[in-house]
Amino acid sequence: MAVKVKAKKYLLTGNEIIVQAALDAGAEMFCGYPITPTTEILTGWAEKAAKDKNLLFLQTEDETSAGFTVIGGVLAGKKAWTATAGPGNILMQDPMSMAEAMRLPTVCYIGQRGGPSTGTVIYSQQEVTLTRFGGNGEGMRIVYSPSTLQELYDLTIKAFEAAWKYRFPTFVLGDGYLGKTLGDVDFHKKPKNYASYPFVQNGEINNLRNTFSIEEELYDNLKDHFKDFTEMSKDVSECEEFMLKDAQTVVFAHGVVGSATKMAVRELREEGYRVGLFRPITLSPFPSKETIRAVKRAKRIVIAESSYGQFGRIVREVLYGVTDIPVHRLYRPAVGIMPEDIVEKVKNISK
Amino acid sequence: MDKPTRIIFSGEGGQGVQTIAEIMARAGHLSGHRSTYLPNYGVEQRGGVSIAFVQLCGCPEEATSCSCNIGFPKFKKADVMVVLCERAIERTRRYVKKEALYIYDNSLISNALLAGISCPKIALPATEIAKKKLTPRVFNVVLLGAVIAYTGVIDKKYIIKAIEEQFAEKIKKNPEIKHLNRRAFDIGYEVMSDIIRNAKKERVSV
Amino acid sequence: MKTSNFPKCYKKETKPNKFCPGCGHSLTLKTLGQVIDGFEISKKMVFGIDIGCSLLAWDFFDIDTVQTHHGRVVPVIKGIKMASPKTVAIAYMGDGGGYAIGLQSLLHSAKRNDPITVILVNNTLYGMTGGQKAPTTMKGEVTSSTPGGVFTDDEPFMGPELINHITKGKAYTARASVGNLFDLKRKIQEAIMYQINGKGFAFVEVLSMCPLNWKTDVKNTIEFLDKMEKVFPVGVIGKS
Repeated sequence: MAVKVKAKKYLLTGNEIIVQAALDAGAEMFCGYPITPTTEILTGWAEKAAKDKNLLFLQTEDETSAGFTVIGGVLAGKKAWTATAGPGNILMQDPMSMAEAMRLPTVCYIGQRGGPSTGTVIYSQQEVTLTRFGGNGEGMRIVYSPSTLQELYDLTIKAFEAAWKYRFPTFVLGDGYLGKTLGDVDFHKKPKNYASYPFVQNGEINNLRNTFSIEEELYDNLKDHFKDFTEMSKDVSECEEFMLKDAQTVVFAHGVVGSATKMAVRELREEGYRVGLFRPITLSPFPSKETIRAVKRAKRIVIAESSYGQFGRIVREVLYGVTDIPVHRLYRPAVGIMPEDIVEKVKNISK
Repeated sequence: MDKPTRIIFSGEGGQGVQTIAEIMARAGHLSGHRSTYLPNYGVEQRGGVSIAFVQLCGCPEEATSCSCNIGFPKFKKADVMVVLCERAIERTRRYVKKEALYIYDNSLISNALLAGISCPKIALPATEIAKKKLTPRVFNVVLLGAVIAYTGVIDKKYIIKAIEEQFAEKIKKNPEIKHLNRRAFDIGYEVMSDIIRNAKKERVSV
Repeated sequence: MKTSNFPKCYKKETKPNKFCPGCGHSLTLKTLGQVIDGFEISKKMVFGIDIGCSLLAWDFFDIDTVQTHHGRVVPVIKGIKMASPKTVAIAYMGDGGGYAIGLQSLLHSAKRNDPITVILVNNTLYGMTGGQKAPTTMKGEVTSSTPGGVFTDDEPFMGPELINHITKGKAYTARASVGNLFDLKRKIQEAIMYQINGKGFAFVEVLSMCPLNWKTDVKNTIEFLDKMEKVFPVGVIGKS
């Protein structure tokens, strides 16, 4: 049993942790629009900016404008970022698709809430597809899925590192449970910081565009991006493999449901169940090799998510043709999945 | 593997449910326990039923490591239910388990409404006590005192420090607030301690 | 040695430009180029462009240029100005981008008095998609989406007047026409100086021609522009 060191340094809410992580990663500019459950990120940054004149802040007229103003800041060389949720994530896809086309580093925190439409305001895992593939493109984005408050901090910092290193729009896909939870967190002493750089006013003449006159020209451009994306994937994709070694049942879960699953696995192990957790930390690029490795010796898998199969589709696509063991679904769109739910499910299918 | 102590606080928005939940998590943190607190409410800014989920690890204070199963901030069943209004009874019924303790303010909730709650219950007229001895506003802290006395996980001194942190701004403006909340906490703590002592004497489990 | 009458900031390898014969964009951009030359700001500025025919200007100048999305050039240019206050930030867009899909951002930028310069080209319709009704389409005007003409009470959109109203005269707001390039140049100069002098938001609407979608010959094109100048009064609407 993994034993954790007690008493972490700070007691903060998830949304406060995200602001701190952004500051520690060198963020200089935030533009956003209030929306539950991420508003405290906007107000938290506004408070910091009121005290530090080097921090830029703008509350825009909508999320679309927030994203495009962030892009303006990025073009001018600032580490600019935003945070949004649900219906705001939809509007945010307009600027993020431009960032994807023009290979601009952007960081966007998403606090998933229930959908479709206005839905509920705190929790779901229903923005997986939108965040990975939103926009009229191919989904060349980096998407981190944190499962704990500590990971909110660590992965937000990683998002800034990855964005400016690889120049793909980067997302931290959280939810309102994580954002609103008050709990313990440690801060790094010194995160790796990749310097930002201007795309205009940088000593050259830059004519930047996202439009092409002929199809073949766009195709060639996209091929280059795919090449970069594939190369980057090896370095960026991440996962957690928990008690998989002798596991007959492998539970796939991501984000905060990954946390619940880990608790369930601990309980089930105490009762003698050979069960483990596979948790992708990046939903894009997806840790496909590790996914395949995780089921090699398994007799069955369970996919647990607070959505009707958005995450499951990724897992099943990766495993297509690799294995024919049964796939059990614990799909609970828009509601939390508690450790007890997973324990019950695993017990039921292990009979 | 130790299981954490799980508490649900619920009441009307504005009754101070979230405040006492946050104080409890803060005190847990100050005492070195791992703790989480998750607020839960609807779309309304005011007036809905407000629920708070708190988890505290059960390790002794001097422990340097912890293997309590804490991670996910929400849970299905609570060890302690604190219910401050009648509307919250139905909203939180699903979180009640047989072994839980149900603490409610019987100056606000009529006992008859709790017939369907099958776990042990303690009626604590926190509002009346606060009204008589202090000011009605601090009735939530009276209940917090009772919860702390019952759970026994956190030492009193950390709660007092957490109260001071929680109300730091208000105390700066009005130092009396510190005193009021401390008194409220002590009263709740004593009332619950008495109840537990009497129950032990009579060999009745609460 | 003077080799041509063209602005120095032109990107020569992209000329002749991508605009249709008779289009008012090239006249507007040439005038803007002359102002940029005159102020010697080509190295200190970022030129942002919207979607619609304006996007064809993405490589028009030897100047830092960013082509954005429909209606989104204002927030991008605002972001650049925010992050780099010394940059002269100019947004270039059409009437659809500014008055329809991007109006929200345009008005809020004006209301905040962002120190940017916006040049909006008004040709009363959506040129790039084949001449549909725009917010600026005049009464009776036939477009491909109003084949019977606009006969409702749908008044054409008065952009500079609206901005002047909501900014209480704080912003620079003006309307010029490609029918009078001398006047257009002066207004673009004033609008850019407004930003350089730190006075805030500056907005010039340019009445322009689209013979392709108007389906007009030279004579009728000039008549159409004359009519526009009657409907949309040319002049400085507000400044402080």
